[in-house]
Amino acid sequence: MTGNRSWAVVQFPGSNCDHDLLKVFKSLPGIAAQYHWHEDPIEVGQYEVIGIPGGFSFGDYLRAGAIAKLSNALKGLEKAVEAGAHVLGICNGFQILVESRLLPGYLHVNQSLRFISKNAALEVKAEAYPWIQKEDIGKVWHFPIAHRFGNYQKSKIDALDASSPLYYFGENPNGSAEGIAAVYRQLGKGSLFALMPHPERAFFGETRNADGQKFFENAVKAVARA
Amino acid sequence: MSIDLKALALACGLTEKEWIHFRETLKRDPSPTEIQMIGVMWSEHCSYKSSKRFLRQLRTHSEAVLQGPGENAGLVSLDDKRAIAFKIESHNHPSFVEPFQGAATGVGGILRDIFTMGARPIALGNYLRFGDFRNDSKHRLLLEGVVSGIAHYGNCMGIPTTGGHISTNKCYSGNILVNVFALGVVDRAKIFKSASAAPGCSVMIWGARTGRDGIHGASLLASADFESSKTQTKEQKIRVQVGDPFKEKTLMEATLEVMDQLSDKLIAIQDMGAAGLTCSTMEISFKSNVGMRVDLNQVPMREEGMQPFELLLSESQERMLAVVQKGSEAAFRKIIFDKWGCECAVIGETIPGDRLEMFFNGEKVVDLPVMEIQDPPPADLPEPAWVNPTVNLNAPTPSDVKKELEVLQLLLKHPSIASKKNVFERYDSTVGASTVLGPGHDAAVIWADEEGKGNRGIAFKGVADEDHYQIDPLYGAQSALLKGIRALACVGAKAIAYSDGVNLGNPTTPKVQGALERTVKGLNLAAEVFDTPCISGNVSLYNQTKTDGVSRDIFPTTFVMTVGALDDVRLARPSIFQKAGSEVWMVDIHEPSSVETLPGGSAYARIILEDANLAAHLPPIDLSGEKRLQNALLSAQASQLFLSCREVSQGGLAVALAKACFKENGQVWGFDGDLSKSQSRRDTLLFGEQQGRVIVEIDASNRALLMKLGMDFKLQLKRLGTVAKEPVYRVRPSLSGATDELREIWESVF
Repeated sequence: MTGNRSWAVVQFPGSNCDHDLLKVFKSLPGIAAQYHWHEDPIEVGQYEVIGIPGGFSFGDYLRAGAIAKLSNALKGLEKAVEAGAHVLGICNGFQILVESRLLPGYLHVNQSLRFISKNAALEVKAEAYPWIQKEDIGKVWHFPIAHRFGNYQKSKIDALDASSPLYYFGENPNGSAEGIAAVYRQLGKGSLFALMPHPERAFFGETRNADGQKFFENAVKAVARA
Repeated sequence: MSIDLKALALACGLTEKEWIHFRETLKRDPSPTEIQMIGVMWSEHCSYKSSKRFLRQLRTHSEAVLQGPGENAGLVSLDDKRAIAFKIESHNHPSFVEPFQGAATGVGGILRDIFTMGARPIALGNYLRFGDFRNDSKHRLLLEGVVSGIAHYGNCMGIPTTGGHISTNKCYSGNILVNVFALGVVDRAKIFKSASAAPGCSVMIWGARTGRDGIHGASLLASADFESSKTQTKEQKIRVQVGDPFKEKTLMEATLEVMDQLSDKLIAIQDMGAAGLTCSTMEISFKSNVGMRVDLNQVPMREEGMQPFELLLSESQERMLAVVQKGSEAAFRKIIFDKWGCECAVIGETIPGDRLEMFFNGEKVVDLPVMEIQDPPPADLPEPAWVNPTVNLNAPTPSDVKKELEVLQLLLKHPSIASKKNVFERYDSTVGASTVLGPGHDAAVIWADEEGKGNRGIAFKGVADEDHYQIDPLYGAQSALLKGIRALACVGAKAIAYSDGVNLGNPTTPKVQGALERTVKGLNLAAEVFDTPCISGNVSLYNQTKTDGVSRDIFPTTFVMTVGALDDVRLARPSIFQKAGSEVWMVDIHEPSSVETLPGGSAYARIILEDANLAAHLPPIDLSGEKRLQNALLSAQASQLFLSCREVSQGGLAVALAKACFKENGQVWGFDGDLSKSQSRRDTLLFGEQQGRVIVEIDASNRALLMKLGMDFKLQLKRLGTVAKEPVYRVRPSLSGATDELREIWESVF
């Protein structure tokens, strides 16, 4: 995979954080970023990093991610990860990955039963290649959250070996078990990292919050070294 | 078959005079379908027949204006390559009858207005008025329904809600106000209009299928007053449309994509809102001066057996009407249907002349001369007559024995002043990754980036103080625009133009006509001085309800949405204190000798003193002073002289200082102030609502620069105190309290 610096943002008709994530990918040094339409299968080795953005993939009237998991793009995802791709699922992307059973657990409706939009404080608790380095552990990052189904609960029957690198710090905004904000799983040569908070909304200094820069820059450097 | 055509016409909302005019224009008996179409076209909602004589007088031009009122939205230039599209619209009547869908489709409607121009929406704001929801459970439910509806639609669309205001007043007990604002950015080379159609093109419809919802919404719901016994009945509810935000999202993406890829083939476009197919075909036809031939059987239908009048009057949401070059239909379909899954059909063609011909099952059911029937005959309107209340300042003022802290607490709990955090946290305010200043600041600021580059920003602020409008709509409107301009200057943006959301009662009375006349005059007064014209807007009339035989109008309420730009969003100034130890000053346009001694026109006079005379005694407006203040605030921008800046508005200085202490992360600052040496009447200084005042936070080392600014722009400066770490709010000698307790009170209402 080395040398292929192609990063993609999967686009469903109801994705609405796709533009934001692409904007961030395009701002990263040496990265060729593009959209990947949901109807097209993802091939092994096609991308170094695959972002599944936030939004309401197919309206989510049924259950967040329930239709998106059946898309052509998702069908080939597991193989691409095993071969070395790194998947970043944000918000609806997290919901889709959980719905696809690529990550363990469930995302219930928030404890308040309401959509919540605010800035969330997150404590970095563990390394997660390529997104979080050892040196980040103990830091507190502020990323905006904006979701109604972000209450993460572990599942007893899932045997997937996953970890939780980010936890809500202070207030637990949605009732997630232990305050889990992100779930990470290594799979084959690649990985899946999913979180409800939006690091892409905390990237540009113009918006007075650039806590997410380190998160993305970690991946640019770490994957290049691999 | 004999249908009583006249009875049908009257049932469709036409007046006797309009019916006669219609027949005489046609020189024949209209068909029942034609009558229904004219019923909606000539409704207040679509024709503006009771308001346009005054709306025409609005200032609508400046160098920055690229499109004034009349299109789907107005446009002003942002830079050489881009323009800002924006507009406010009301959805009052539907939201009262069915709050969730009414508010949701209001958001959908305003977003379509923006992207129909070719602009990608980048911000939403909503401006709401309710009855007293703290004591009236019905209004608590209405608030809940409206907020849920806005969240449902706006969040799914992925447009950040970055501004808004909510207040309550008894006058809205029978008519709530739901006004929604949207703003977008468009490439100046790819602007689309409804007035650019030519003969010989194909007429296409795309988006959702057409169903039976919202029929007669514009005429019989939005253009009629309520009787309290009849609202929220099944008969009214079926006139409210049902929204599907996912469909709108795909419609938006599909439309923006064809605008980008097939821009030279897309000749004209009009969104389908009020009066659906009727209004959109007539608008394109009338504005472009072309005829149109439409086969109604080609319209994608949601259900079987729909009649021509249902197809023509349906207000099914998420639909678009477009005129495209012949031969390009398949290319449109490829993007709209194949990629985005929206219905897409060719339903007719444009023809020379001005006739609108509609066919159903091969039979011509409509044949109207658009130019002649576009406008209803002039309405018989009463002469405007608004009378301001007489103010008797010699009447004894009730003596106020409340402690200053208690007054401050009561003001912070006033719904108009209280924190709307619990509401705004239900709207996604950061999607787009461009929100610089969101709810909680004087104005919203959005970074108008180009693919993550560039520094330019857009700011907006919406204002309406119904208590001012109620006393004098001229003052209310002028003050609303001034406050918008001032709030923009506080965050560092220069106002460019505004959009007005006018909400009034029954227009057939001299009083409501007078309110409209004075509103327009007030807007023009401020617009002239600041060169900020009106570029779009909306008028909602018949906000009147008959209860127990008495008809009550709402207070005149015009939301003025001021929009401006900043060269560099990195210099945008927050409205919340930034640093412990910094100095806080008041910047004021008034000479000390001329400063008003009474706290007139303030929330304090109204709700604490309960003195109607004092409440009606509005503080003076000084336009040239306001201009100096704007120039000063903008010139201090580049040097970053102010750490934060906030206008003194409702609740006066004491409230402004308290709000500046409430940090965005839920924590608080303290404030250590001293006004014990001040010569002014203490309650006037603390709670009065003088125009032309802001508080600024500076580094103590910059005091000399502030003095110079004051001299240069002839502004009065007064040192108020310092920002403190310790969470105590203190204005010596007699006001002191715990800041976190004040915050708790402030956040306890919504």
